[in-house]
Amino acid sequence: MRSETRVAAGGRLAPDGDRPEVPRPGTGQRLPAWRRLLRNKWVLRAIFYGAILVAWQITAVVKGEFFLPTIPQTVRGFGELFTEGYATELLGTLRQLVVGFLIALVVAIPVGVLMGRFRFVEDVLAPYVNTLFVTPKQALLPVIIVAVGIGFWYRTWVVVLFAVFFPIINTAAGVRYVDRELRETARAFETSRWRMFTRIYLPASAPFVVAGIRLGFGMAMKGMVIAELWIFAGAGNLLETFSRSPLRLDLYYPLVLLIIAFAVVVNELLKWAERRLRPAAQAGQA
Amino acid sequence: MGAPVQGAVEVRGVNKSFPRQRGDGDLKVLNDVSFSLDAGTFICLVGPSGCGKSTLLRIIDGLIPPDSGEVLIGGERVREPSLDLGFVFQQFNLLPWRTVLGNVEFGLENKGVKRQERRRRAMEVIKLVDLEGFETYYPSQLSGGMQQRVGLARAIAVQPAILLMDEPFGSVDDQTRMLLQDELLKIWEQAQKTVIFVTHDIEEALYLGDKIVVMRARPSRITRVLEVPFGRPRTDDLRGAPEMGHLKQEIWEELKSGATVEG
Repeated sequence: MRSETRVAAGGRLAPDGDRPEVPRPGTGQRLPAWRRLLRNKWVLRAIFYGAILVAWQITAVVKGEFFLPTIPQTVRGFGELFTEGYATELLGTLRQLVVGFLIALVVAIPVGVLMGRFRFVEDVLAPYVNTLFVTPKQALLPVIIVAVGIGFWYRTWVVVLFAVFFPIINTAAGVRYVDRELRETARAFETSRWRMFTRIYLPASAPFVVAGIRLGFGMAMKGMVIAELWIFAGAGNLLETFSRSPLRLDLYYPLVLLIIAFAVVVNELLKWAERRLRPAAQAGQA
Repeated sequence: MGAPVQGAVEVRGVNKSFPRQRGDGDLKVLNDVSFSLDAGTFICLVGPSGCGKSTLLRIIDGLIPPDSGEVLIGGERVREPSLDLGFVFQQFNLLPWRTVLGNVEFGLENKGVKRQERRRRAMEVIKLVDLEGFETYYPSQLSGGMQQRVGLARAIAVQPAILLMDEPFGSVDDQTRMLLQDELLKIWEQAQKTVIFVTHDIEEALYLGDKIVVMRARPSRITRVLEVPFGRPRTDDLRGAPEMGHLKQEIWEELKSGATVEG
């Protein structure tokens, strides 16, 4: 394979044989090994993030642990999170996140579909959805506390409140713009009202819906932490405690990293789902 | 749904107007259109663009209601689209997220045909339109001509008594169009369905149809119904035959006298 490419790049088999010495742009075949290595995105990332780690360690040593814990301290902190039971706390928090996020989706997708499909639903709900969408949700937390107290459901409903709007708005937009021709085609083939939703509106708007789910998940993460900051519970409370005196930045940073890691993993899963849905509609255009 | 209808079609005094884009009144698209055809006939609606032939086809299918008048199929009044009629669209209108097989099965699913039977019948028509081996392809991976074969397969898979075709070969290149015409004739000669075929291409209409309904634009109406004198089966020789040329000229004169700059 490689030698074949070389031959082509050398010009003997290349169609533009009158300029045999010019390598084709982008093939990189004529570049020295070290420069080719620099074109590998993983090598580039390793260098970049390696530099950040080095800078971190130097900063930590120079400024002291009250500003930034060193890397070994942080690694030890990870262990402590688990041995001291803090990780269990985080797990409880994530449980509420998951339940809240699922409730948000179960509400948001049908509501979005109905808003996109029926003008009267849009007319009735759009003012509420749009108003709440731009309202800082933090302002509404006392309302939820008054309604359901500060237990499991408080935190869950806060997550719902944060997460629900992106999937609603995106799904509605996706359904609204389903091709008129496709709708007519489905009607010509005697598609029932129900199947119209499941077989036409949903698949046609799937990329929009998944994008909305991804945005909603980001909001859910935010809601989760903010909810707990208000009631001094769960992972949000730990974040607050670790950053107050007595300062435990060696635990604070690992916890933040753990939360970020969780968010990144879920986000990657959703991106994967998005890619799985896309090729169906756009196969062959890659 | 219901008893199987025979393929006889009767269009009675159909009128249709659409609101103009800028207020002032309605635009009359169909003006008292009537014609009828027997089961098993291949009829072509020919006319300049904007003469309402696609609208008429949609009214026959039940996709849009007429302002007045009615369409009878097998003696029954059309109110809604039904799987007794198959529709082939100019822009193919395939579901982009479904494979060839999935698209062909679409109407069968709506008809409630069981999975295995569905698969069997879909494969049969895929073979009929020469798309064997492409079952797992998505529409965007196919050429225009192949996409329209899928559109045709989807329509005939439900075994409709009547096939409605809206300029089905209008979006493919000339060579592909001629090949598709021959294949359509081959399929039609086997199944002998009623076909209503809309086109603005006079030669295409003469090559395919038993009967040609000539329409004129604004006010849109039928100016002439003509029996095509060519026997069957039809072959490529016909395309260059002198009678073909004469008839083409005759119909063109007819259309030209009614054509406007707008059309």
